[in-house]
Amino acid sequence: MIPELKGKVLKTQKTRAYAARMADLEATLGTPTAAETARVALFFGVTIGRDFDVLDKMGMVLNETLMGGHEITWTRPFEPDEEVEVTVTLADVQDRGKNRIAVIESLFQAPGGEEIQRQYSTFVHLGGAGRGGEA
Amino acid sequence: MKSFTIKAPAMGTEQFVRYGATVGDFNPVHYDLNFAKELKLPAVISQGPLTFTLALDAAIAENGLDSIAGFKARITAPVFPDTALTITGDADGNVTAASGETTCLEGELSPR
Repeated sequence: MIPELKGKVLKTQKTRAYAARMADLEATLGTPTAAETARVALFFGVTIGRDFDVLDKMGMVLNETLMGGHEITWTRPFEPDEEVEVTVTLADVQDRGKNRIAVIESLFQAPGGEEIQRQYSTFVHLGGAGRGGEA
Repeated sequence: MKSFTIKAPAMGTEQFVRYGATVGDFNPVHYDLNFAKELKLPAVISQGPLTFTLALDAAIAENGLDSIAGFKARITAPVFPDTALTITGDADGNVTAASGETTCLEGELSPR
């Protein structure tokens, strides 16, 4: 069932690049450039809904899953409190041996369609090969 | 890109929780020691995106945000609490984060 999910939109969500969260991230990092970094690294697309339901939809069990990699490209930093529309898609999924590798794309756009940022997050589900997920 | 070596600030469990609250990552492996031990880990571990963000922050400190269009990295080892990562970058845009002899992240910057 999982291969049929490849290319499927797993989630769409409207949110904001909350200035308060930028300030929280800046405080957590605590470096001289943290404010700038927070404007490009504010979101983790996979948890955009503040949960891991994207992984659940693919039949990936959180405590059996490792993060293998992450990529962010941006056209510009987020503006504080600007509206953002997020589209989370299963870009690729493969079984390698006993494990399942999934690449999740998260596209961040302004309400008018302008692309602001794109993320690719790679997850390894240990022992997850051959398991099902929601169609 | 500029070559650099920067000691990133050490992140403890408190920072893992604060980062988790910021991005919505509430995986207990980042704050619940018993949960981490069930996974045969000696301690809770940092979020991969937090390690990624620390490496990116070091690159921004040296190169400036305006000169970078993206960052891609592999997470190669877990990062435990209170670990001060050494972030190293070279002229080709390659970036690594290491804890002692252990490389925890290998990445590449995209110049603008």
